[in-house]
Amino acid sequence: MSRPDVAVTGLGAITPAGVGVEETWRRVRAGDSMACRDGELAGLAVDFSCRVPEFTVADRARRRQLWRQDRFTQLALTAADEAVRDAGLDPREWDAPRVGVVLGCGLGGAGTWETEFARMRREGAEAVSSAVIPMLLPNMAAGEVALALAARGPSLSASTACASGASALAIARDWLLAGVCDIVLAGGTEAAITPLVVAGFHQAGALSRRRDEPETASRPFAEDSDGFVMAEAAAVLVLERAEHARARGVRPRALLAGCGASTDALHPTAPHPEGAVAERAVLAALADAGLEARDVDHVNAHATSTPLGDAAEASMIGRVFGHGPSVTSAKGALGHSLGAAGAVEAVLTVLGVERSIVPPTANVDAPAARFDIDLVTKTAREQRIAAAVSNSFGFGGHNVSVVFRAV
Amino acid sequence: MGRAYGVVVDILVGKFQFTEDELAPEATLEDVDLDSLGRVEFALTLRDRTGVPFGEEQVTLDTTLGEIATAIEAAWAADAAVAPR
Repeated sequence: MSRPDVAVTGLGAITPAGVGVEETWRRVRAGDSMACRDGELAGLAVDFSCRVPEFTVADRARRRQLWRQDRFTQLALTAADEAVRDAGLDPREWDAPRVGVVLGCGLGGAGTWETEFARMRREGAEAVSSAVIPMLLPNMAAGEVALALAARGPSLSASTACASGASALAIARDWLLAGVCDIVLAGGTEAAITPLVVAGFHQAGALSRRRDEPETASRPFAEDSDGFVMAEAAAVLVLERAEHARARGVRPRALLAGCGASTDALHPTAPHPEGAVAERAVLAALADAGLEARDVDHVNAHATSTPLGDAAEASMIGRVFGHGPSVTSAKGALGHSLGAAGAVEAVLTVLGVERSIVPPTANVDAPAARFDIDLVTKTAREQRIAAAVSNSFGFGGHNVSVVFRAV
Repeated sequence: MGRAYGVVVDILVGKFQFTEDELAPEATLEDVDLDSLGRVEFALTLRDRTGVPFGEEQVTLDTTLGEIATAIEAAWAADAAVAPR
């Protein structure tokens, strides 16, 4: 018996490019760069980042809950609202026990940890907020989204560092194929541009040090890339079996055709130099989708702008996809939003498939000569995309690839 | 209402994002829809801002904002050492 198709019926995003999917798409498509000096990082060796612009919560009841939510949860709620609206769903009417939520998150409430710890040191333990635990728990984005939208099926937080958003999609697909849920809100969220996190990534040698030119610091696959730029974001996709979407009269925006995962089991943070194990995740995702490598027209790369990571991925893409599909990385424009990145890039990949457009990799004129990939640079490319792969890799050796197909 | 009521309103507006027109001395915590976690945080913040210790029994669903202000004023009057911060 053939397996049902899993459809993407709704998209939501809040990113450094703006509030909402269309604003993010417009600026990524234009090759704009969002990185700039960050006052909250003043005095650190790396004092720039990609922050989400100011956003408001219109609903009065929701606004009263902000005090008990870390920013990563607030971002997730904003993205989830948009995705549900886009899917034409009314949470007051859906079959709540059949709706699941799975959101990737790498660090949880990093900002809450830091501010509340500082407060305790300064003013004593009695000054700590009563909500400090529900604020910092990484699962609370999923919990608060489920609470806000009355989604009473399974919910959880996927944590595979920078692959978390993609892991969430894979889990959602499993729930839908297993018949556990009819609808799953899947995505990722991260808001961890804090002094400790930035200092930590810097000490590990992962961040770009281009303090004098932050706006062009993130340059995936470039000859002179020197690290990633910290970002924050959230993105949510509404997934359902295609027949479920059809039954309620909704046309899928794309199909989540396959997911695959592997683990390097080699080093806590460094990737396999040639992406040998990441390759297995791509091949597993293709097998899950029933596709051959040559069927793939486009690759949305993980490519964070770190020399090691970009080289490993370029090597792997060149090996697996000998026919030269177009490649792009959104991180030139948006920076690296860690646990949200896989979901943000899934949203962008769906839009590319739907609109036959590959956005350029911002800040890069051409890929390094040693990388044998067809990197889209400078301007967006019109291209019909029947199938696209989006890669995500995380500290811990986690590799996750997802395949989207045009409807 | 006096200075203590002003602190109560200030916390509810500043921390819990109420608008002033949603608040009144006769409104109970149930009326303004503070849930259990919110009431605990409200009590902690009251203590922090007024110097007056608040127990859970002083911030129940039935407690009005005016009663809270009165309790603060009384504590301030009884003990000069307990002063607003």
